[in-house]
Amino acid sequence: MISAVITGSTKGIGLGLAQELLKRGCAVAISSRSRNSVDTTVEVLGKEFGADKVIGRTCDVTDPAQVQALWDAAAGAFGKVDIWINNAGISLSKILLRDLPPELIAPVVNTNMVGLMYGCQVAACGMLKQGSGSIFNLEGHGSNDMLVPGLSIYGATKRGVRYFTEALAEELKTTPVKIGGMGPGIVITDLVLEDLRRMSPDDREQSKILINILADTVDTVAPFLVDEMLKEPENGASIQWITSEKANARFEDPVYLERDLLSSHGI
Amino acid sequence: MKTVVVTGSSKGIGLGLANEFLKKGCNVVLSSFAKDEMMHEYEKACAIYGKKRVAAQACDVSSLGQLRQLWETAQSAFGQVDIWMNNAGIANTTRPIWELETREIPRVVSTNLTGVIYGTQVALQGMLKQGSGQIYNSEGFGSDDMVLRGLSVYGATKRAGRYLTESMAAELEGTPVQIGTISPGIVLTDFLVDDVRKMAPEQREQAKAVYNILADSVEEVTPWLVEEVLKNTENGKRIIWLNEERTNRYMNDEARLGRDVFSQFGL
Repeated sequence: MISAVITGSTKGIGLGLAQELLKRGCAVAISSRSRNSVDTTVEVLGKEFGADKVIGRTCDVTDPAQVQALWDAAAGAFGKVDIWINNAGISLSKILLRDLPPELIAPVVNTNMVGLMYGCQVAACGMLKQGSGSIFNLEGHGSNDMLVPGLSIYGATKRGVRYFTEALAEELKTTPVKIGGMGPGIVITDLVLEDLRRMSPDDREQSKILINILADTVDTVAPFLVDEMLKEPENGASIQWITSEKANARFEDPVYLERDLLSSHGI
Repeated sequence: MKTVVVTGSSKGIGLGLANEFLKKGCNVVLSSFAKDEMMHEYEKACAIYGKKRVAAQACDVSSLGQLRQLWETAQSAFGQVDIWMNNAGIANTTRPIWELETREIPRVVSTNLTGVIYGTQVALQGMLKQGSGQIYNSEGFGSDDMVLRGLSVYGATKRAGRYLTESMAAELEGTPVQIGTISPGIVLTDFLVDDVRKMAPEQREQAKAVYNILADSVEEVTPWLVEEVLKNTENGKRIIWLNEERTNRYMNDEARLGRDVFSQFGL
């Protein structure tokens, strides 16, 4: 049985990945900063997929001791960790750096980059010891060098993540441990919806057009990502839900041009 | 006469940049977290250029408050800041992720990325208020997507920093403030020499072979960088010393192919 650890997995794309892994018979360690969310998620998933398949642990990824404790808990419960997914991340609403409250900067960098680096270190050490394993890092806006004013800080961390994955693929190439990157595209999350609600009507109409064409729900994206992960891709793999060809094709496809993902959310 | 702030200017490339700006007639604000070294350089600069053209302010760039203090010091000494160089940076020891001291990770990221974001915000807010100014961030290994065992964390911060600058150039389009990067290439600083000293013999010989051809001294690199910075009027500009043309020229340069720049350091 394949066992996986996912940071930040009580909601959004992390929870989606957990459910899809469980559906395919894997064991999963759930984690997030909130004990309540972890307990609730473990209970719900345990009922559906079996209590022996799910464990949970609170983990703030900016604390390396907590990240190590998450590994220890998962390896203790399942015997080993085959897949470690660095998913925990903080995103910011679109806001220019000149107006960004500076206290929001360090949490984004510390979670998206430092926390992910801790995750890679803990997982790489554990996997080298057990003789196998794969690490996946979640990418996001910026990873492919796209620029959007107002998303500079988040984008910089995610561009750093893509580089870091490539750099570790180089370091790990002579070892039994593999690492890869995973791009979920634009996923409809609470933050995306909140941002849309807060925009001026003109900006909102423009953003809605793009989101309806390019974005997807967690339920659409997570199965694809998990299927690709379970194919045991080679070291340095880049798993991308939206490629530029796919994005271009959607702009010419009536299904996507007329799609409405947002009215069910009252937008 | 322009006023220039250079972070991390008590030694290495930062000090070289500061001295060149002084030579070209600019006012310069020195800054470093190493206060004693900084004051020593400040006294030397004052002796040559006079106290009216030099200021110094201790500053750890991972502290937003200290960066704001640096801006205040520069502004009260010289009235305004025309050029702000986010130069301060540190490198991790060149070890693969599974051997790297965990505490090095947050140290490198908070100086090289968080510090650059803070410096950029402080400078652009001040410059928008004064109605003009240019910000430069320093590229380094990783900015061009090259990977090398042992440089994953450093490289990720430098790749993220380049993205940040590009994204900020987009944010600053249409404002009187500009942002760009300088890339000093491979410079024979204490850091580089120490790093080579710590390498395993085989890795050291490889590194020496490359550096003997491609490396330059601070005195060779900084005059050109400063001239280019003082000439530049373009937002988003990358000022690159070791570009493809220069690299090719060096690789075919008989004098460089037979050079040994390390014997002077006992290597």
